[in-house]
Amino acid sequence: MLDDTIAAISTPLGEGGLAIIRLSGPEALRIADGCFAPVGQRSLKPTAAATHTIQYGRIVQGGRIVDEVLLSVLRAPRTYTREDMVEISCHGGLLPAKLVLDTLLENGARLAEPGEFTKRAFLHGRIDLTQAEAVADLIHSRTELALAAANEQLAGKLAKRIHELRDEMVKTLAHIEAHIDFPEEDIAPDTKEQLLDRLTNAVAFMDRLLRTADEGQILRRGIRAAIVGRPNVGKSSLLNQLLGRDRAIVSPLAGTTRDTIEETANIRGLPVIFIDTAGLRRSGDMIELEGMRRSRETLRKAELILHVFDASEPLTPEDESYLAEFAPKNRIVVRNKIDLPGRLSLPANLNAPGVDVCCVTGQGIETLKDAIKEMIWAGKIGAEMLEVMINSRHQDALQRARAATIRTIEALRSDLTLELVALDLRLATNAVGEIVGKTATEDLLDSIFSQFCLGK
Amino acid sequence: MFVYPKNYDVIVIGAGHAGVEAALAAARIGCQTLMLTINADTIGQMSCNPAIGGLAKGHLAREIDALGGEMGKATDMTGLQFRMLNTSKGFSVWAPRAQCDKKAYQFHLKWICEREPNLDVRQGQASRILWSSNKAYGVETTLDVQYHGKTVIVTTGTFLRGLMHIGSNTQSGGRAGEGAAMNLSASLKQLGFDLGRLKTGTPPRLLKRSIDFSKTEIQPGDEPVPFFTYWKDDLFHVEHSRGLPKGSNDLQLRYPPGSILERINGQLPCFITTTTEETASMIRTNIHKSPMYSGVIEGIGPRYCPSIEDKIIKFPHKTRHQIFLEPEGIATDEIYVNGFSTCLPFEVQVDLVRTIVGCERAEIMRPAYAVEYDFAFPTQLKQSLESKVCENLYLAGQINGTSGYEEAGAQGIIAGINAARRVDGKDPIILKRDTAYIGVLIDDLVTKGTSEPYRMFTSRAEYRLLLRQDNADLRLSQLGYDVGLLPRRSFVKFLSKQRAIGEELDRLARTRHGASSLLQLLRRPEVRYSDLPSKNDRLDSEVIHQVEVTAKYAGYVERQQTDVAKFRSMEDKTIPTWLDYSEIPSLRSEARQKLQRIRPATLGQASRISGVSPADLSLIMVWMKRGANGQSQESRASLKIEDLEESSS
Repeated sequence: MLDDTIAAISTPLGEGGLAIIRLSGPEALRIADGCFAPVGQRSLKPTAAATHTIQYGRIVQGGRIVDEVLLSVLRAPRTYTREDMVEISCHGGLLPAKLVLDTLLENGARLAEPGEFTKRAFLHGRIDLTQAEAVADLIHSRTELALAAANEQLAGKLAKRIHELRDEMVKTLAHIEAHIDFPEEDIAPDTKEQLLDRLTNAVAFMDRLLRTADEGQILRRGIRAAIVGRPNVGKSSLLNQLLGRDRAIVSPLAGTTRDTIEETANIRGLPVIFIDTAGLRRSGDMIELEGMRRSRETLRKAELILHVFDASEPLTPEDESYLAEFAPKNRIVVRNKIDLPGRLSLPANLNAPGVDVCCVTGQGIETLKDAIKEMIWAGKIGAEMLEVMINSRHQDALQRARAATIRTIEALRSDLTLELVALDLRLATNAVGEIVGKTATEDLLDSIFSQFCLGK
Repeated sequence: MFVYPKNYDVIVIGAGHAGVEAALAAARIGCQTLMLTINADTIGQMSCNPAIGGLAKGHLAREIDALGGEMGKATDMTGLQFRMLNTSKGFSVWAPRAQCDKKAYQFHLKWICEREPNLDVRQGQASRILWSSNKAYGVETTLDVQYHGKTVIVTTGTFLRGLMHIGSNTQSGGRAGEGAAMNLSASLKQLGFDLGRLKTGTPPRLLKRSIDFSKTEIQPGDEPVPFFTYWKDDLFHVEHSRGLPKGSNDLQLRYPPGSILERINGQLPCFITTTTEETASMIRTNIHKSPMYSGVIEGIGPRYCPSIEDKIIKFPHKTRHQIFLEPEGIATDEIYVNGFSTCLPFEVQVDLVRTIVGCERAEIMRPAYAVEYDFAFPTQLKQSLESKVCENLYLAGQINGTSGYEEAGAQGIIAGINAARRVDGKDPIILKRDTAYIGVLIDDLVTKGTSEPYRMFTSRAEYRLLLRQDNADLRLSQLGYDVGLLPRRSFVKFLSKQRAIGEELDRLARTRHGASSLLQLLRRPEVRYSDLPSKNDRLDSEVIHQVEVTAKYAGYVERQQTDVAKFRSMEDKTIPTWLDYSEIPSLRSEARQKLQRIRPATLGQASRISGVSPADLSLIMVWMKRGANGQSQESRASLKIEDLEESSS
């Protein structure tokens, strides 16, 4: 557990100038060597560089430049974990950091478990023994967060597809294992062609999953920020301003927005999903009622609340009830229509940053973006970060599964013995199982006994 | 009350396949050993099929033999048909199997036990474990005799509150015609053991002359005979050939002197036949009479050895089921109907066997039956097979929820070795999952427990390529010798074989043929050792086999060895006994409960407990590092750590 080399993005997400990816473990320098191309005469490969020096160069994968980086070489024992470490500073924003991390994983690093750098620091005596509880707490809380994020992600279609894939692989493996462990039973053998078909399908399935991971998932994901407020305070106008284009229909009539609108915008390098909720007005209109039900649902899931007020009108009881309702959430108070004479007075001690905007002119919108960024940078919102990590974990497992399945196919094609075919298929099945937290043995036996009538 | 005057080192309750290996191992290591059996005529009796080996079981038998156990030699001496299974599917899944002469096997083992110098065989039924302050010190029998000893090994098989079923008829007993052990369960419960209930079954035995074998397919044995033992000198030496003239150490002999094969000068065949549509319809008509389907039987039966009624009901589309007709001995005409276990009433069985092809006029000599028995949940044991609730008390064999002679023998030999080591004040022997199927077996039992009779499969082994039937000696004989079990003469043989393998591999690597070395040549799938241009004709066939396997497996074995290295790094991390799981903050309650109950010996074992996550392991590691004496809570400084780490993960 301490013999391998781990990697993780170690800076919070945000636009910033930089993101830092950390590597720690016996192979840290060698792994960095494998994907770092020094630029300039003074820059060196990590294994050739002295400790506590900074090298300039590029992260390269498959001949493609991933990013331009500064790389710090930190040799044991004067490091955070007391192991060899490499810290790579790349461009800020979500994507560069993720791509650098993926490159390190492909070069042999393992994605760090939640809190693992600290765990290693502790186990190597870098952190005082008296802090054991604090270290345990940190591991626990990070794991809980990661689990919550993983469950969220796996709750949907992805989990269903992973389970389908795994069931199919277990079934194929069960077939092979039944032939190995029950040679004297009259099991109708799958032909080589049938097995090859099933394995080829599995690879195609993995390819499809991997493509969604690469393209869609990450960019579509982001901090969920809900825009709320009583009707006609300008929520839809604010959304259009943040997106930089017209997405929502804007009218002076209260209740124009009857459904929830979700749009992703790049706020200071970070994807934020803005959700324009239907006004929370009490109404008898059936369609609007449904809209309001959905709004509530959306609000429950949002990580950030932009609470919009009309600065030209006094605080209404409705405003006050929302203020109370959203008090437990991370929120920013947005005072709209500041071009009009101000008649709004908000209660003190809201414990939330406030921003003045005018959605007609765009005044204050940049300040609002800064405020959003600050909320994220301050570490108050960490879910997105975790989701990316989870994503990398799934991706890594699928890639290993794919490679092992391809080796299985090759073993079958070249008529290697069944034990060797089974060896790789077992690895592939276990890799897929990692995503949903299952190992093969028991399921495998269940599958064997449900498919075949055995019992000499 | 009579206290037997001799004070033993090791007392073994039971003389089945676990008991015999346990008693012989302890006695051979040098312990004064008592083996207590309900009936001295049934030592090493094969209650079900008189066969040893098969997939994974053959591996276990070879491992027992490599350690210095008796099962392999007893099989070789009393087998009447030998085959090597699976030879087309890769070296790691080759498996020897032998059909034995049932009576010859048990009487051979009885004789071996009787002449073992440090072993006393006594007839007597244990009724109570003697213990005080959670330490066992002996057993009491139903005749009110007490035997005292330093350690006790319980190997009672299916006899604990055994209940046999044939139709609606039930009889108390551990095996047909024999009584059950009714008191020992209560004694174990008093000690604090949790007991469960399992079920197993056995098919009918038919009279040979009532079967028309011409309608069946004949299945001959393999020649040359694939013997089980690595110690063929012992086999072909006068030592085992009771009553024969001394001096015959001639390896040219085809069959071991005094063996069953020698007596009949050849092998007996088995026969393959099938059930018919009639079998299926008769079972469907009578299924309500099966105690398994009427709910009378509560114990859980093995899925891999289903009764014929299970097969018909669960796989209705399958019209025929394969049946093996196997001789039970050379001096009996009883035929074992393999694949036809049932607990339907006798009157149904009479007609049912006659639906089998070739058995139209068959006569049942002994009816099939099912037996339910108590077992102790094996998670109550340490990896040494010593119980956690009571010191110096070991459990081995079917009482731990396993099935099969080989599984029993494997536990028996380990319990015997470890009880002997306890007596000598030495640390127990624990075989790891990368070293032996025995290790996989015991680790599975004590870590995961079992809900059905546990049988070994090769698919249970993560490192299957390394755990071959051909290299059990290379894996285990050094250990067998070190613990004092494997005799010196065998160990010397082993060393010379090991040396020969190394030398030949060296020679092949050094000798060039054209552009490549002979070793590289041998790596090609189509090239056998005998095809090599300069081969060594004097080499033993076992040495040649090892050389071939090593060459052909090279890349794969390296890959498994990388995995093994990772596995080992976790296995080597011993969890200290002072560790109190209730103290570790943030451990999830499911994990906490299981860890407290199973008390894993290493981080590796902890990782295999279902419900223990990597995060839980991290927490345990942190707590181990923190040390035994606990630190004050005042110095908690999570903020500082956060600062140091920023947000690393």
